[in-house]
Amino acid sequence: MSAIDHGAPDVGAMREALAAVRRSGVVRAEIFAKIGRSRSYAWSSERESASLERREAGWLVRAGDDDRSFVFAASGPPRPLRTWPSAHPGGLRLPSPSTANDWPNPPWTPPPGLDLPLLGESEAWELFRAIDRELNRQLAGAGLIRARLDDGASGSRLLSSTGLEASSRARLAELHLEARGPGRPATMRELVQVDRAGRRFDAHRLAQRLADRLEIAQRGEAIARDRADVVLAPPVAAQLLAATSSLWLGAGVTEPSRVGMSALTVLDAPRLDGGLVSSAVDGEGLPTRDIPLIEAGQRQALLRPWWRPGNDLPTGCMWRSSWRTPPRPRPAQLIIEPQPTVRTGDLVAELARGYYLLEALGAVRVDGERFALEVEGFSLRRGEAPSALRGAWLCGTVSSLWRGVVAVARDLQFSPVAAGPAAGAIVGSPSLMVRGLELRAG
Amino acid sequence: MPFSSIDVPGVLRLLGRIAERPDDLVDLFLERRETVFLAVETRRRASRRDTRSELQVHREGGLAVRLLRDERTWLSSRDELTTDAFVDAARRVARTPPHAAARPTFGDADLWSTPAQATELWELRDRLLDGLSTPPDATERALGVDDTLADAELRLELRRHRRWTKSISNGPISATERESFYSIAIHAPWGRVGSLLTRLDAPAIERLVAAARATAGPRLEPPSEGPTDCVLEPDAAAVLLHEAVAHVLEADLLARGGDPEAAIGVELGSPHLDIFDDPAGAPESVRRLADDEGFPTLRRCLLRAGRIEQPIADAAWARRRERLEPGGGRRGDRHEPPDPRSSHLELIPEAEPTLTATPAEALGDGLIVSRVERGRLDPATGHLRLMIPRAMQVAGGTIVGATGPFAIVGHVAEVLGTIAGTGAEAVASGAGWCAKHGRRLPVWATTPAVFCRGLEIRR
Repeated sequence: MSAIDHGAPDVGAMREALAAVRRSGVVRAEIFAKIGRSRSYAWSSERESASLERREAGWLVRAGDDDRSFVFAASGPPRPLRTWPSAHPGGLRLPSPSTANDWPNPPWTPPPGLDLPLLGESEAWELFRAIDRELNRQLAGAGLIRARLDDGASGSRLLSSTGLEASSRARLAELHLEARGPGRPATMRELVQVDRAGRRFDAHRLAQRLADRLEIAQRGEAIARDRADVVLAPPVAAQLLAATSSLWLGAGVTEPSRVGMSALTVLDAPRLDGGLVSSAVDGEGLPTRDIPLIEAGQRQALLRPWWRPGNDLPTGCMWRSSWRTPPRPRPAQLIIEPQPTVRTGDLVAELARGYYLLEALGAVRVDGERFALEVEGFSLRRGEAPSALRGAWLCGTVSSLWRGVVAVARDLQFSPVAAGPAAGAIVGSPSLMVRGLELRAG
Repeated sequence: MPFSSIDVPGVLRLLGRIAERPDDLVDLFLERRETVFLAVETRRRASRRDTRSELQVHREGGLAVRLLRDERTWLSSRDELTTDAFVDAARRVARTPPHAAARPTFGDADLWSTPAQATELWELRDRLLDGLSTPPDATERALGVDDTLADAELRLELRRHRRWTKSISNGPISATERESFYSIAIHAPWGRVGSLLTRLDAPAIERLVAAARATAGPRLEPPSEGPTDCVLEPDAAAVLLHEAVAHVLEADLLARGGDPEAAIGVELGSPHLDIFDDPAGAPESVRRLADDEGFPTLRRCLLRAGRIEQPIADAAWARRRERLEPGGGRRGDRHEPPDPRSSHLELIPEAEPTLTATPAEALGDGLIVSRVERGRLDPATGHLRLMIPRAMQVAGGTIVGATGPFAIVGHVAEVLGTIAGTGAEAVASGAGWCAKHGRRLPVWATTPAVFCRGLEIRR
């Protein structure tokens, strides 16, 4: 088993392309290039299977001056063009090495696991078979109906006419499972999980989670309207956190203000130990740092890119969702800080009457400050057996959600953000205990 | 012409060495695509001096080699159109290393010969801003449009898409296929309106402007829940047909409920429905004579008098089921294998159309739906949900006002069963971006308005 060769964009070709852009008369220019390798395995119960192996490469140039600019992106290795696109009204801002002169830039160690090899074909099929077997063992008659695993690694590099140079590496795997329960009509549930590499997925735990979901879907009962204390499992809490991701951008916080209880700390943590997309630099090559957005319930900061006016210290928070797109401000790794001494079981045991919400179905619906999310889980009454709950909508306002967080567990789990302004980011949350949230029937 | 420098006989020799069994299908898929993107933000629409623009040009090309053996697919893809990329991808796909073959030359397939220009996007920007800048007239005001129309900040996202594809296989070999179209999104404080256009002609732009203007203003009260008679105008009918007919008849989604062949002959909708998928009958700039596997496209009758006649299949499904025909395989891009997808749906207007009067007169009481914001089919249950941002309320054959957002819901067969007639004139339109399995593809339709009795409305 040999370590993966990430490859790196050819710096010579990048310099040549950058020089060619500058010869076309632009004042400033930047080139970003990325090389990626990935393998995907897809299987379905209709007896189809596919093994995909990809080598992706592309580059993007931003060029212009204060008034006019263009963006050009192309696949393959960087190369000079005979004719670059014409610049059009709309200025270009590029950072320089001095932009971040007074920013903190703590020492950086790349996260472990970047060199883990991509999963092989036989390993992938064995993972799917193991999940299927284990699922059937835990819930007789249940089984996988579809599975897809994407396992990839990439290297990227940035050069700018301002003198800025940076490079970074990434390694990420995503697993998508669909399973059906026993009986007819069969209930079906999906599960999406991310990790550093394909071989880190644990068939036993995944099957257990799927079995729990299918049982709840099968046996769960609808709920009348209720307001109660709830424990949100990491997948539910992470969905809600992702839906609020655009709220963390801005021009700074002039004075800390209380937005929640002392248990709540929210960070954008691009350098998080064990984070899945941790990086020392952002998509413009500027140093990142972990920023407490809410600390012990006090609103502390917003993410401010270097070009946005403000009194507080900006940070590297411009990220690219692929080589095709210019960087945009967003969080990188938005997390609710876990409490290492608190077990999830302790939170659940504290609920005298309430709900333990394990999974979210679909996306959060946001309308102004209000949110609604379809959830499943258990209704808990002290002294009674838990009863399964389905078809319930968790409703409220974002501010009441944060104000209601009274305890946080240690079980931090990550989820990808697939769509919206934070697409490409990772959100992470442990289980949360929240006071006084509303549940409604669907 | 892209791909003309590629040594096709040389490619075939190497592909032939990968096909070890008589039934193996081995193909090389070639793709080039270009998107010119103009984003315009305006603080006050009336003054163009306040606009801020961003121009982006994306160009990419690459290839994929695929081996289809029994029910298994191996695919290797590269972001280059070079001999090295092809030979390396072919080596990865081969189950046993192929004997050395002469390396086919790809020539200058990786080079773009002309600079990307899309001056028409700037003209489109001006026409949209002009169309959106006039205050609402009395009719629009009666439908809830207010003066926010004149003062709102807008973001326009205008894209011209061009794509060239070619498939070379030990089966069929296609000529180079070319698609060219525009996607437009207008973001306003009151919501987003999007559209796909094959040409930037005046009627299409006027329809888009009218759709964007119609949603301006405060959020209106949704209509009452329950069964409601509705006229779905052509743009809305296109989305309904895509979700309720095309997706339902895709062989891979049909297979989730059993054998796709068993669906043939099943009654899915009302007898007013004769529906085809005809990629070669699409507007010229998106017309397809071959699918993304190189198979000739066909005028595929999906529903005849409401009964299923021919599901949509790609090569993999057609090889497994005798009564399924290939020609419906499409790839979101070179990095994914093809799957069964529709391209261009056609609903044939009734010989004696039900909707001969104005929609309001034909309807009597109910809703006229001009636009569907988005649609979703749950393939596991057949449950359909179409989100409608705004509709016109009709009473006594007259438009009396407008409603706020609501959903049309129901099982596919129930929804299609409500169709009681069609209009006389079929209109070509974009049904939108289809994101099946996360792979975005434009889909098209030519359809008249449809008259539905008792569509289930939910708030």
